Amino acid sequence: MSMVRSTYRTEGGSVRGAAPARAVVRPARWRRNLVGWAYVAPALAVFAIAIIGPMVYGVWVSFFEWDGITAAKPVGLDNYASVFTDPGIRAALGHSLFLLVFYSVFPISIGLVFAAVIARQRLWMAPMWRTLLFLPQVLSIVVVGVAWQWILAADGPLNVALRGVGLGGVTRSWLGDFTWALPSEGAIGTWLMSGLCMVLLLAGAQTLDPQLYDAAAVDGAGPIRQFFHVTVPGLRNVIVVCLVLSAAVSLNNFGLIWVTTQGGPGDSTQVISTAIYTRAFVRSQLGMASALAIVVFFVMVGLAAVLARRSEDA
Amino acid sequence: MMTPARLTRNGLTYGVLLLGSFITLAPLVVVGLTAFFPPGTPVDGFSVPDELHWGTFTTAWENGGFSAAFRTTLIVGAAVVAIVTACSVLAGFALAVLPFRGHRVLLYVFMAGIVTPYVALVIPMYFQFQELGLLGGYRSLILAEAGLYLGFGVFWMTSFFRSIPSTLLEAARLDGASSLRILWSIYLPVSRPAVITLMMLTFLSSWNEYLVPLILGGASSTPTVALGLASFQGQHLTDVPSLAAASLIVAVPAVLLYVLTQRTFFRGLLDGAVK
Repeated sequence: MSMVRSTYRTEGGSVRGAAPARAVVRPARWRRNLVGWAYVAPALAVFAIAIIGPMVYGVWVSFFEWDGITAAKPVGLDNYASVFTDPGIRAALGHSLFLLVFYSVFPISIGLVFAAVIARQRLWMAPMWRTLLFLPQVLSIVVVGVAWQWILAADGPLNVALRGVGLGGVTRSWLGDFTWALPSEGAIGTWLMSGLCMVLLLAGAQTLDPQLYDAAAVDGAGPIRQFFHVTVPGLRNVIVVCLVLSAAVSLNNFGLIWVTTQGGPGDSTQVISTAIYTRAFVRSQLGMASALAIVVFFVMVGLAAVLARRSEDA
Repeated sequence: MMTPARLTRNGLTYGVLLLGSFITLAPLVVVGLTAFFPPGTPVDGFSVPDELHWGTFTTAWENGGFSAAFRTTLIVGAAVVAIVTACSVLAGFALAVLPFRGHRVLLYVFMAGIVTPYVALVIPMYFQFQELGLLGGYRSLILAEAGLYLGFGVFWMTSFFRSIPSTLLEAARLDGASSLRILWSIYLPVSRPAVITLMMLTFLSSWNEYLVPLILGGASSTPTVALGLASFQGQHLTDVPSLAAASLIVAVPAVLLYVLTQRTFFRGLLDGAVK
């Protein structure tokens, strides 16, 4: 006891007393920890009530077969087994990955080309272009859904335009077509995300050192080689930001799908988010929906941890 | 004088810009124009109204119950912005500037909230809130949205505070300033664009939120604007002018806020995303 106290006193003394080696006066370690946790406490409290508590309860629910009304029946790990075997869920996962190409790969490619064309010039009315291109991001997903549902409808503007240029043969109800509904949802995603990627990548490209281009030009690199050897590597970090943002939007596209097709026709536009919702509120399989939600949660957290570690190493 | 090469380059640049803006705007303009037809008018393709029929907006406003929806959404949005901003600034400051035991794990906990699809979080919320009798009303929406957006807020403020040179901090420490004082008079003033951008993003997310009110709103409570628009769509599937008017009613306040604050908004956004 006395030893503990004396250790503490010496430590405190050395910090407070003459310690010329340390330039900054630091409070004792336990105090520093306490202060740190005090700052985080409000955020942690909200997080605990809104996210962590429900997740724990969700884990509990996932071990039951429950329709939300009658008594729940414990089923052990059955719900988890069906998450991995259910063909509907597997199809939804495939659709989500397919849409990821439209939400991430296409917009980033478009944004890169755009940034490469424009990067090294002073733009007339730069804020106006930026504000215009970013506009889809500030619209509610319901507004986007309502607008595109009509644009892609059987007698909507797209089909009228196609007939106008003599392509009447390809017109259809785009979102009502088993083959075309999913690519149409993808096209909406590309429209939604391209402006964001353009704005971010252009801003990134404007920070690249012009001398890099001059050096490449001296070495005889044309615009195409400059693009792949100067622009793309220089924008690696911004590309990662675009990738993360667009992947997040793509996984959260429940609203867009629900407003436009509700996962139909058939199950042709069911994605992970609509599959969870459908199981919970349409089919009343609450245990199953919870199990799926928890599997998705852990997969995403695992992926993020790997990404975070890798970016820290780099 | 412009050289031919320069002229080609300018032509290419503004050609690309015009094309991008056209693709962005055309769908919105085509839909927006139909709102000026009288309700129920059958329209197809690029219909331009002969006269601006503003009455469609008043009808849509009344039929969609948008007065109540605006009030609900504004109250929820203001509360969510206040909670998320205050909590994120405090937590981000500690996580970035005050090294303490467990700060790394905490950052991962908050980041887990960003990467998970919202549906996977909101469905368990539904069970839990139902159990606690919290469903319906403002409380459940505010709590749920604050929780959902907080992960991003903490992450955003942490990475911004980290980019501030630590020499400022060391100097203030030497002067014996408390950590709260350092946050208030050194870190916050230089973070204004980042904080305003966070507030904007949070308010826009809340204004546009569809999933949370759909699942947690309950049948008895007033819908938010996005949910109101979605149910309006369900009742007026073939009435394109009314649908377009209701969409504009929901979109215009968000777009106005965005256009009016775009300078600060983009400064904060680009500082955060492009370093």
